Amino acid sequence: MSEQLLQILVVEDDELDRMIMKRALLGSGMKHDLHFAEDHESGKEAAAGKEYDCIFLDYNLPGGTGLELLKEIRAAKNTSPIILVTSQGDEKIAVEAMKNGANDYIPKSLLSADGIAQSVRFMVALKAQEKQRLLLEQQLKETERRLKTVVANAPIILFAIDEKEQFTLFEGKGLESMGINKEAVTGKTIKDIQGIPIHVEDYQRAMQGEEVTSVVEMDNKFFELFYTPIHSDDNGVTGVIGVASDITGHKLAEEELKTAMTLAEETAKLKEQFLANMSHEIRTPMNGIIGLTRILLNSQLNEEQLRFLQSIKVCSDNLLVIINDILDLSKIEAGKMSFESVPFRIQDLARHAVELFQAKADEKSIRLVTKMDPALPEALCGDPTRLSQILNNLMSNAIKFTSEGEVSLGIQLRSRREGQVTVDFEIKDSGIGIPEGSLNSIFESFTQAGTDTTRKFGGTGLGLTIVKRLIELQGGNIGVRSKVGSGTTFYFHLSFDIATSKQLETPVVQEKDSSTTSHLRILVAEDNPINQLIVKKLFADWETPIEFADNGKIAIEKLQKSSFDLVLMDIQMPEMDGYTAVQKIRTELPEGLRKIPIMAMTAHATQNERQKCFEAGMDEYISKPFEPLELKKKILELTKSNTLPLEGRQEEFSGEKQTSDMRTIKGSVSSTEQDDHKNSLQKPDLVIENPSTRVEPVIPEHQINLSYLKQIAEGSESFIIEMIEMFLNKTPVALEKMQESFQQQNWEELKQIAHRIKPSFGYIGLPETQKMLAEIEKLSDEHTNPERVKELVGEIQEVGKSVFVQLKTALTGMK
Amino acid sequence: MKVLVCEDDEMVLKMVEFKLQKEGYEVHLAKDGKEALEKISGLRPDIIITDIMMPYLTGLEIVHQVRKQLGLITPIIIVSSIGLEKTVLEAFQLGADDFITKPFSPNELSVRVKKLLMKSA
Repeated sequence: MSEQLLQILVVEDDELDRMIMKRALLGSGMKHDLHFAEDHESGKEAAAGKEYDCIFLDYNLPGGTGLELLKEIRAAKNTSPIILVTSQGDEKIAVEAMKNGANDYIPKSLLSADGIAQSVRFMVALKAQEKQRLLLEQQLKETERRLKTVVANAPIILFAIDEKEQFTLFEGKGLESMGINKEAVTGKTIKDIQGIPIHVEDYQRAMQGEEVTSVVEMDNKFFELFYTPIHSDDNGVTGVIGVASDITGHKLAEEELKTAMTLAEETAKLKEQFLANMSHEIRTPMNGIIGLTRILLNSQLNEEQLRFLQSIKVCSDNLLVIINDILDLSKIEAGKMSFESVPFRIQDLARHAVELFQAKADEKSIRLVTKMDPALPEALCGDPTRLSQILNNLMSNAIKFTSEGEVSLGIQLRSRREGQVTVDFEIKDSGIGIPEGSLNSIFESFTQAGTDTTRKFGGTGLGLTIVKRLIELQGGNIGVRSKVGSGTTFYFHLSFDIATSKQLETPVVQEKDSSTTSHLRILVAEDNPINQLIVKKLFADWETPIEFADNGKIAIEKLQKSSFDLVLMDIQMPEMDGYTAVQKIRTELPEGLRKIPIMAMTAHATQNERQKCFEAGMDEYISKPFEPLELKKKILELTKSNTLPLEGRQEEFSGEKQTSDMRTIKGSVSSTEQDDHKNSLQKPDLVIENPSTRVEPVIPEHQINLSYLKQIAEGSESFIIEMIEMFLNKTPVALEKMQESFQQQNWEELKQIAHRIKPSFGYIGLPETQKMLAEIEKLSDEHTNPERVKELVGEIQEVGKSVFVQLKTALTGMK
Repeated sequence: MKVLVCEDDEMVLKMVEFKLQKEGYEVHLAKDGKEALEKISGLRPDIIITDIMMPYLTGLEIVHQVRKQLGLITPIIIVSSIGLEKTVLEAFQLGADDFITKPFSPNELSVRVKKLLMKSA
């Protein structure tokens, strides 16, 4: 501050005194700018509008006293420090001057250099202080003004309550919304006032020193309140200060949010439910259409009918693909798509993918080329089903949009490290190509290149979206190159773990359906007559005896009455559904029956449904409409332990032989009259009742089954009777002859007899016996293993006896 | 439409007869190869269904006779047992038109009959 050039005004009429002042100031060593005024009028002028660091006023001035001038300066709002210079220590004047705003006074006798310097320094400090004070005051005022504005306008209520429960403060815009008059409240106690959200209990807790938060509902509005205790210096609580804010808006938003969330969750559930239902609702009739079409295709048709039927088949197959696409996409959208990790042969998978389209390609005269990198590991670990889906989709597109030239599938090893490979796939066609402008959007749902593409080539436009998502979900990437008129190439890469060949299960190449299910007895719980028809036809083709149960309850009853190797269980059935039935079978039936393999057979195709089936205790799951071979494969897998070597089964049989003859055998004709025709085709052909040995397994292979004959008969009972009589006429003789031929070691004759009677056993539903006869035929042709032939011939005789009894009983029932 | 069925097993015979009669065919039966040949030349059936293993004359011999000696183009369906692929091939070489494996579904047989008749018509 000493560096500062001080502005000093001296109002003095006496020249000598001015000189003294000047010298004193010079002697003080302070840098300064000295201004002089010689009378009242010029002094007033000099002070007008200018702040000085110090003003010296002589008391005696021409034109008025220094006191008067002082008053005038102060009246002009000049705050410069003013020192009154008095002549002769007139205390009275000095006091009067101080009262009127002078900051100090100094007698002329003390106007020395030191005295003036001291006074000026004091004044400068005073001025600085004053300036600071003014600044603070101004800030304080500003803050207060702001606070007041805030409090007055904030949608809150600010309140303070003293220890006597009296309001000392009640401010804020919130008052308006509550309809409270500020003046009416201030000074009142909490208990005096009604209709405010401030509760005496909360106040009392705050008075105990606690900070209290509470939410109060009042007149359909919500208020949030904070109470803070006001502590005195000695730490006692002298009162409470609090804020109340109206949170009705928040509360409503929160409620809305909750509702919206619940709604969203419900919608998601509904969507899932809807998809499940829709998939069920569509699949059920589709099952009927596809299944019956398949059956019709095998019947006599003229060419036109055949053509129409083939169109129906193509249409319904396409529809099924679309349904599956939609289901897949919604699964992906819902984040519910999961991927398997199982070992598979990439070569086989590629080969299957190409084979599938060979016929189509041949039809269009397109070459199909597969280029496999020999460096690829034989076995990979991943999701072969999804990979096939991807390849099939891209191959099908390639062929669809190509009319000449070739479609190629290339599979290349990109990199290999630490038990992992990255594989590049490329599907290239010489088709119509995709315009550059459409390349980016072809992976979007419902988009195909060009609007007329759909019209021309069909398709949902979902395929590529699904492909892309399936690839990306497995960590890969798909891209496309294309040129209009010269073809399109889709390329993608995926990473797989390398599997050892050992990890691969039984050879992936399935033998072409030489397997048979004819040794199995299957119970089919299914209420839909069309589905029954399809299943019946299917199993008839496989020569497999089945029985139907119209609901879960009947299924359980039948399981207890006779023995089955497997149950196919529909889910939606009247009276008792599939889930309940399975649970009951697994928990309530006798030990021996509980473990029977059960396969769910349902038109619900969601993952969820599948999970539910397994949780209910099913062993397998197949969704309708199903591929017959898939069903067969699953049945065989489930009943693997049933395909005991022949000897094992026979021992089982001979051990049971005695009881089996005592069984009561009942023909199907004994089922009630009113539903005779329809049910004679579907209802049990033979029900073996044996209460004493109910739990023991009945041997199905030697139990006659007339379903085949009935199917042929189509209602003609006399045909069945005729056939049975024929069997009873010729077979006993043949069996006797067989025994003879064996004793005479006449292998040729033995072979011929076995060959001749073999089909007859098929007609009465004894495929197991047919197998035995086939073995005799083979062995006697080779002249090997006479021991085994002996065994078999002996067995056949026993079977014959049991079968004759059964047939005769059935015959009596019919006549 | 006359169908001749040659088969030594009477149950199979009965079965085929029953099925084809119901389809509206005029069904004739032969229980061995000799009878079969006689009926072929006498009846001139529209289609012949024959088993392979039969007394006197096998089904293959019948095919041979029909094509070479009688010089007929009557459609012939061979009925064979499983696992006799070689025989089936031989039958085709001799001039059989179709074959069906035992045990067969009568429906299938009837479809095959119809198809052959439509082709030859």
